[in-house]
Amino acid sequence: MADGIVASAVATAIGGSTAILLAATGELLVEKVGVYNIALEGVMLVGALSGLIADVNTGSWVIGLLVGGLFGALFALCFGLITVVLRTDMIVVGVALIFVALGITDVVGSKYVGVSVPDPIPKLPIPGLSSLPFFGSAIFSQSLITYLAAALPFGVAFLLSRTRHGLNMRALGENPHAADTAGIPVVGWRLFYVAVGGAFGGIGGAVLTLGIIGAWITNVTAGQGWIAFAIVFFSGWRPLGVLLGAYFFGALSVLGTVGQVEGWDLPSEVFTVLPYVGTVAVMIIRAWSQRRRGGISWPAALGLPFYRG
Amino acid sequence: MEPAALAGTQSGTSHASALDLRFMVKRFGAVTAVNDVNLAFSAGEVHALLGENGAGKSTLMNLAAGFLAPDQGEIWVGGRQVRFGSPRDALAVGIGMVHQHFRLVDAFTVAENLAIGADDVSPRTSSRQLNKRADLIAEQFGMPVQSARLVGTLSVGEKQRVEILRTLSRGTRVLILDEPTAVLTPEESEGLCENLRQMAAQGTCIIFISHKLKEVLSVADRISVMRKGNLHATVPREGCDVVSLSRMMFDDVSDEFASVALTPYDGARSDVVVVEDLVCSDDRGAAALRGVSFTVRDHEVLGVVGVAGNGQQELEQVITGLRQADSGTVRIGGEPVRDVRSAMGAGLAHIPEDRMGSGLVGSQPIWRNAIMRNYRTAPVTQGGVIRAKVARAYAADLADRVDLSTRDVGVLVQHLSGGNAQKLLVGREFDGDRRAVVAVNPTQGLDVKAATTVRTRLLEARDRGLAVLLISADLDEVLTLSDRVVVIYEGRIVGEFTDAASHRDVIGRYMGGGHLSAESPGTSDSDSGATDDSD
Repeated sequence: MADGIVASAVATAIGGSTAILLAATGELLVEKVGVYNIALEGVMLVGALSGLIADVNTGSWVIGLLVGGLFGALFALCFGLITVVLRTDMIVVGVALIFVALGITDVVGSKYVGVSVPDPIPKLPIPGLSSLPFFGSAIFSQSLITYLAAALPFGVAFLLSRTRHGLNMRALGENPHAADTAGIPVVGWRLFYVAVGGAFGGIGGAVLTLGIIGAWITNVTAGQGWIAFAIVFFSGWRPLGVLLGAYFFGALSVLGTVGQVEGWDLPSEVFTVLPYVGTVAVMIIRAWSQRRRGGISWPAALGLPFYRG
Repeated sequence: MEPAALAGTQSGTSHASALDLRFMVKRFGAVTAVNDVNLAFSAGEVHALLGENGAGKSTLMNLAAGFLAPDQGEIWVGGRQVRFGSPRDALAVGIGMVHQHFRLVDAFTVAENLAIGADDVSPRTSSRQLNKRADLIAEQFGMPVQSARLVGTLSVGEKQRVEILRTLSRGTRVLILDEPTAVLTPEESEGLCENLRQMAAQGTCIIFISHKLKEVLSVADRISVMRKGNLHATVPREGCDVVSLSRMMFDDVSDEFASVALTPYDGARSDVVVVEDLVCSDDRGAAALRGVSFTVRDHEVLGVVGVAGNGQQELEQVITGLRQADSGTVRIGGEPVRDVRSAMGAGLAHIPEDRMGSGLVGSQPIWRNAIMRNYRTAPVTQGGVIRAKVARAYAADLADRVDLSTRDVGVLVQHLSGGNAQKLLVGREFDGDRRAVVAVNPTQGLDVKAATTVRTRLLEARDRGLAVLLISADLDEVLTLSDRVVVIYEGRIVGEFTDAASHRDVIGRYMGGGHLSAESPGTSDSDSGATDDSD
């Protein structure tokens, strides 16, 4: 196998994982406080389109990402208000909101199909490191947001396990009654983190349109939100597991490219479905190994509506 | 972060109460749970709040601690009127409540639980720091805990200590405990009461919700009795006794167990339920039953006592066919139990602990609940179709026989009171050809009258010749109703008692693992246990 191809595949895998990584890290925060935003796919779509529109109109990818994050947060907040405040079923509402997002972005986005992004997210090779042999250029010639996304899970890990705030967050997801009794505003914090998770998801979506793909296509996320959602489960609700999971699925999705270049005798559809089949396979293996070890580590109150008293 | 909403003015009186509830009213729909209650609590007293289930004790205290908002009324703390939007506001003025169902995070350590929501924890924490803080808190309040242990691995009594410490560590001056001894062994209860007396001596106001008369008499300085949402009386403990208190609690005075008593049975008995060497794990794969064997004979009640979580649930589930044992057998009348159908086919009646969850379907009407055991056979079902008319007629007849409060079998079961729901469940389970009964905490949450009815039904079943297995956390109930008692501890039967009532103390010790201290039930001192039973 030619080194160049492997290196470029690694580069693509890392860069291409950025959207999923951001969305999954955000979703991890949401789930740690006891909510799962199953509308993550919709959040990413909204972020992807609003980010692109902002970039087209302002010519700034930074503003594009920020606007994507803002609209992602607002869209997630809709989900939060309906489920956390009104205590409706998260699955039904989440799935419905995904279709809302698909519909809206399809209509609004039709004007932007084929429009090129004036200011795509630039690559930012790190001097020195990017000229290291082997994978140096693959790993260290990414965009700024890719570096940040890779650092994010470490920050989240620190927040969750080493800070007072993180302890209180985890208490919300484990037993909101314990948190409530201790004086933590359950609904307020849950809404806040649903919005934070939405912002990460929205930025992730914008990274797709402004960086990875570089254009608006209807349903541009194509299931990446679902994969991000699955990665949180796969990670066992651990930030570094999210990092690992995101890169794993990134690697699966570039296998197709590698395969074509290498002339593997497989139809391209096989590679296209690989990330999705991989998701299912990994989830099954994970559920198995967890059962054997006897410990399932999800937040005990995940997905349960909170009623005081 | 913000201080509690303080409103109103300084009161003129020099002896301000620690907590003063005025004109408190709380309604749930058409039900008035708390009706115009005025009650003041002083610093340094242990104040017992006594009443039947549904008398409004817990509701009143949930209002006082910010868990519920009153419809009317004022709350005064230390001479100032306060308004609570949440438990946080109540904590800020020193009012904390320990609920009957613990509000702890099982996956956290003791130290982490104590740190939840606490402002004095530094923003950057480490487990060492948190453990040190927990040790200091434990020392300050004289209640030792194991800071680094996961709360999920603690006993109920230890969990309760963590709850109390957490509440106290927030600067609580009014500590409310909702039925704190309901889940404790007799020994743990005594320890708790001692702790409470010490806290009161140091100036804390302790409010102690209970419906156990003896306990209230032993720990309280003053006793307030609630009845149907109203405050009936507040009296000093001096001059009170069990009789006078129960006269205040109930319209008609009756000893809780006076009307139920075992009649001796002299006939020959044969084995009906035979349990052999059951080994079984719980949902998480941990060992729950570690080789349990016993038999229940006809005309006999076998009581199984133990602190909750020692394998009772798994035992119930295996015997009723709900759970597969890893090894060992259960036979009812000689027929092996493999699943629920074979257990029912063998003539087993099942009164589960969670009557609304696994015994009845709340969202379904009475008649559908009534036919849950015989819906598959004629006359209720013919040709695979349930005949509603027949089913309704059957249900109406059953409702009549068990004396339900309503004869309208279209009423949804969730609208029945706990007592009526249990009557329906017991009636259904006992109606037909039965050989054995498994009843788990059958009177939990019922008022005295309803509990007496259920207990009477169990004894009637025994006298008809059924083998009754009574699994209950209510020691007095088991002692009163059982021919024999076995103690379950960590998945093993650790003791068997035939004259159980006179071994109350020993049984209590066995429930807490006391058999490990090498003492046989036969040789134990049991004089206090014999008199302790006359509740």
